[in-house]
Amino acid sequence: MARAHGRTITCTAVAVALSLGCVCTAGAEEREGSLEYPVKAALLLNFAKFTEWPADSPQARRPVVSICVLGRDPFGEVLDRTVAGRSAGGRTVVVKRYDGGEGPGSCNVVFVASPESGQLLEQLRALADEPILTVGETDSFAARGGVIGLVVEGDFVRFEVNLAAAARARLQLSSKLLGLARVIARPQKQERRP
Amino acid sequence: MKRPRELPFRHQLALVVTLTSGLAVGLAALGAVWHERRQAYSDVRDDFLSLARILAANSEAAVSFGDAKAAQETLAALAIKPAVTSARLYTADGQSLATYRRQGVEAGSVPAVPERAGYRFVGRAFVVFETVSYDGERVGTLYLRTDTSPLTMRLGRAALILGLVFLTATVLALAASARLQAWVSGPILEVANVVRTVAEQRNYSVRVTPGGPVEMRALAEGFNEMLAQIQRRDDALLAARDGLERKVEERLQQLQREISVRKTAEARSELLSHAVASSRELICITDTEDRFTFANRAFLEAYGYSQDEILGRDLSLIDSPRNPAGVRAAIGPATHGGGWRGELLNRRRDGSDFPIALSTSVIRDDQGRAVGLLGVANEHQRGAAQGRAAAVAGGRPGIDGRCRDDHGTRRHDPLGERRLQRADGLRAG
Repeated sequence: MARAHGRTITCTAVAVALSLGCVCTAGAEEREGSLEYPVKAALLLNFAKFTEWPADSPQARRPVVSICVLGRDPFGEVLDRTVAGRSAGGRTVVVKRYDGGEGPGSCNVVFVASPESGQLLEQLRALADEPILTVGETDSFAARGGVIGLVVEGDFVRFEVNLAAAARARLQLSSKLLGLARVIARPQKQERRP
Repeated sequence: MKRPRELPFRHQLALVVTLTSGLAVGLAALGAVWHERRQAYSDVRDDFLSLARILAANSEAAVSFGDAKAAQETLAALAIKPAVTSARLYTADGQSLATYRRQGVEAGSVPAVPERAGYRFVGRAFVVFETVSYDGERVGTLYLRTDTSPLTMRLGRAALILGLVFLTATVLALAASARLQAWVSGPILEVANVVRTVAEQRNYSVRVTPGGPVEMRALAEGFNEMLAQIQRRDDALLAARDGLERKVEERLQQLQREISVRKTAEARSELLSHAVASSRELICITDTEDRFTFANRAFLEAYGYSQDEILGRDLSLIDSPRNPAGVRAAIGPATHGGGWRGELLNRRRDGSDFPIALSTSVIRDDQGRAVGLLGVANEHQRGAAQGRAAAVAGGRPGIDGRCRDDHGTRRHDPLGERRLQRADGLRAG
């Protein structure tokens, strides 16, 4: 489905990619879908930049910010190139990949590509209470409990934020980020408490 | 138009005051305009730099995420600032993300690519390029262009107002100084007037009324004192001159009197002189040493001497040795004793003797001192009575004048035989 929308990626998305230093895809519309993941990679980095983790969590304490790809990796080298040399909150950003098994509990950002397998969904549910920013590209990913869901709408790549999920994970998303997002599921007071 | 240094003092004074105050007000106005301009530009700079920074901060996320819509919305807020003519957000690589243009602003006026961060005034505009950064990274650039023509107009108005203030102040200063300069110039002009009066009328009784500044009062008082001194001196001079004139007049009258007296005396003296000179008697005068001091015409003719030949000579010159002894010796004492009369012989220049009848006396001055001896004689006339004791001769003129005054050494020495006879007769008589 994401591929189906690949041709609709807009110049805005291109601009985003460029603004993040991802020069490799400039004017590279010769191949359909070649711009979708560079844009999404840039978004992942920006999410990391506009998010604060709870101060007592290992996610906040470690010297690096890790962006983990859970399951299938649709980025290839694009994500590594996007992140290379960049920082978030003064910390180096690194990319990790987990294809099943243990480990993602210590990630700052977890990306789940589409389609999600049942095992992945379970893993995600297990991470729901951890201070981890979960990002997916499947429809209604945020509505189903993820923190941010990427949505390709016409010429734009938009994103939805589930504030209740963010609160449960004790993540502080920048109001500037929220200003650009479609917010769903505003949290109840009691829900924000761990 | 006269040149300033040819103007009267009070005009110069007013001019100086006006120029000075005009300069002061003008400098103040220039300073105010300069300060106003500086302040205005500084205000504009601060104002729009702040605005640019706020905008940049507000558009961090939009620029980071390349969200043109959000960026456009951020820029749209600029509508509340009518001075902002255009704005644009660029992504990190210089692509235009969103653009704001005030109504009526041309699309081409917005730069296609951003410049380095900074600001500048361009003509009637203020241009800012502000870096948009987030999390320590430059994510884009904000361009902001502001119209500063209201500022220019404001400065123009300020300059106009200050210019009017300057003009008004200068005109008022001129009017005020034209009136107030009299405080200073009045006393000076009064002194000048008094000086003119003194110079033209030689009137030292005028005085300056002291007034104006301390120095002017001191000047006026000093000038008055000087006038008073001159007046005193002038009065003294006048008095001295009057006295002198009076003295001269008196002296002149005195002289005239003296001259008149002298003239009278001279006339009398001249008359006497002429009388003596014109007398047909043989008259001669000697000093007390028997030297001739005077001989009249008749005498000179009778003796054959000229005046030069006889004056200063001793009386013995005319003595004749043929006089009887003793006659001559007797004459001197007799003369001093009141006068001598008698006949005796005298000798002419050519050596001939002739008899004379002589009367002598002492000439005394006003104090009674003897100043000379006078002898008056006439030629003893041959035909006269021989028996006469006094020598009185009618005879022919020219022959008988005989000065035999003086001291006694005068003897009658008739010339020729007849004279001798007569002398003998006299002696005999």
